Amino acid sequence: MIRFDLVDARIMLVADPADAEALTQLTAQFRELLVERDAASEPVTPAPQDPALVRLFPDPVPDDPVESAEVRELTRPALTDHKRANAERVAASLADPGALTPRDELAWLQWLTDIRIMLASRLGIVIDGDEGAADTPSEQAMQWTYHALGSLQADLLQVLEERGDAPPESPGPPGPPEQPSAPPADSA
Amino acid sequence: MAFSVPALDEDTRVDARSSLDRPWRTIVWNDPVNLMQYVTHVFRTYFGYPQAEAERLMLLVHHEGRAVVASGPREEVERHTEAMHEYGLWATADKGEA
Repeated sequence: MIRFDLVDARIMLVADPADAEALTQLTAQFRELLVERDAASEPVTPAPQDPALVRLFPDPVPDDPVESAEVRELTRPALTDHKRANAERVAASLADPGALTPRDELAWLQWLTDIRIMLASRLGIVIDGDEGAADTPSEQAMQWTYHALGSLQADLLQVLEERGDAPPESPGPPGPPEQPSAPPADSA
Repeated sequence: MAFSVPALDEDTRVDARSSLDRPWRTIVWNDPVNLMQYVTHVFRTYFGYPQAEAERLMLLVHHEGRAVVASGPREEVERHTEAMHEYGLWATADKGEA
């Protein structure tokens, strides 16, 4: 069992060894996926081909391929490093559960999203309401994990909500602005 | 938190002046993976939107398929788009409609 407890305004990770081990395996699989992305970035940063990578690294400016290529060139290495660092931080905290730092909290939130994106891609979950194809035992296990990690993320969000204090600070640039830079316009 | 943010109406007035000056926008698209409360959390904590506005934008994404979550100069919008990618949201940047 893995859960997050709120103790004196700190979020404590509680993890039994078997589940910690299973989740650590997933952080390793995720890092392998990122290695694939690194390989795809040479020499002209083509759009990645693995559907999980396409979703994890969306085309930033789809209307403008030239601009998009430039942005990808500039930002992809840092984005990849950020995602890898999240996975490493999650693995480190699983190896030594206890109080999470604000950076750990952010790593957990973001990595739980990223790993669920990877699993959803493997399961063929592409639109709202999809359950994915889970015919084999391994696919059923993956589907179970996908939902379990969603519950875990919901628990973490709940604990963050209960604490009700400032959100974890984003590490380094690009940092969050104090407020939106412009009034948001409704979409169509 | 390192950079200053222009006053809201000031920005809008500049943008409205000319279609050539129209701002870039960060758009977040619906996806089947992200939890509604996670998307709200990201909008609230990253952009600093009040809870009600963060929820309104999340519901726009959920029901309409997308929402504009930020607009402004290109570099800034691209930075926000990149930040959304750090959070695992499906975000794109474009030059707003005139």
